[in-house]
Amino acid sequence: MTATALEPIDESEFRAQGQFEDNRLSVYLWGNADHRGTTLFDTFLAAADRESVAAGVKEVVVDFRQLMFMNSACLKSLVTWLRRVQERPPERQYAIRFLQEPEAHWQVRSFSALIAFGRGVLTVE
Amino acid sequence: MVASETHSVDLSFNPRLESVTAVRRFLEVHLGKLMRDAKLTSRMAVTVHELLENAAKYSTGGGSRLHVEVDPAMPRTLSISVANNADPRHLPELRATIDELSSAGDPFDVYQRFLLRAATRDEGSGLGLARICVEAQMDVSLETSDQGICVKAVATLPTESTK
Repeated sequence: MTATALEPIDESEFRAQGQFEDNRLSVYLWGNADHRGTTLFDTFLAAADRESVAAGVKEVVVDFRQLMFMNSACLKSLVTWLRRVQERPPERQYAIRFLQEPEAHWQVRSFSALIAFGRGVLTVE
Repeated sequence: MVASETHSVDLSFNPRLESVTAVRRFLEVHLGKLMRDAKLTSRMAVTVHELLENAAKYSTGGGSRLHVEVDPAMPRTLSISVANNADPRHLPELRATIDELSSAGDPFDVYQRFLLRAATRDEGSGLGLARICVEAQMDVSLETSDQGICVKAVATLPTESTK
């Protein structure tokens, strides 16, 4: 294991943190992911991916249940990450699981599209 | 809510990226109470946010006008438009995007195409309008004039949507 925690995002309206435990990385998102968080989110996901590969994790779980909104730029960050994982040889891939808030209708709609896009890598529950 | 009363919000301002979330939240609270439909409110929020971010990024100054209208008559309609001056160099891509989305046989398939493009784009996501069409299920159109452009998104709800 190369790290026990990712460098967090700690902005006033958007926070993200990631914790490595056993063969899993657990990521938690809070607040409002809009243009102010886009670059930080890109960097955060790139680090999550890099360190997950280095640590040999089997699964990354992203908890969206406290995330109120995500704009299209941050959605792009997610698809870029999914694509990056998909394009690797299977032995260097890890599973990605999103935890969604059923009452957050934007999540239900966005993630139904992402499930199809991230086939073979992404599940949502 | 009076059954036949139309509710509208009209804002003329110079949108900055920093103010987009605040405007979206205001509309979620204000019109959300009037619409009493969480899914429709969410669709409105996504649409307003993406249209205003586009206006903030691509407007060439002179201010923008946001108009949101909810007509509770049957069929219920939700109409959202943002008008602003725009750099003519952006118009072909904007028009092509709207044409591609409008002519899609299966919006879900075309959205997958947009997601794939987004994953490999260096600049911007190119997802804002696709998100409005597919996720928010709005019909998007573009009007151009000497005064600038107006992007309009309309949803018609023939029956009461699920709360």
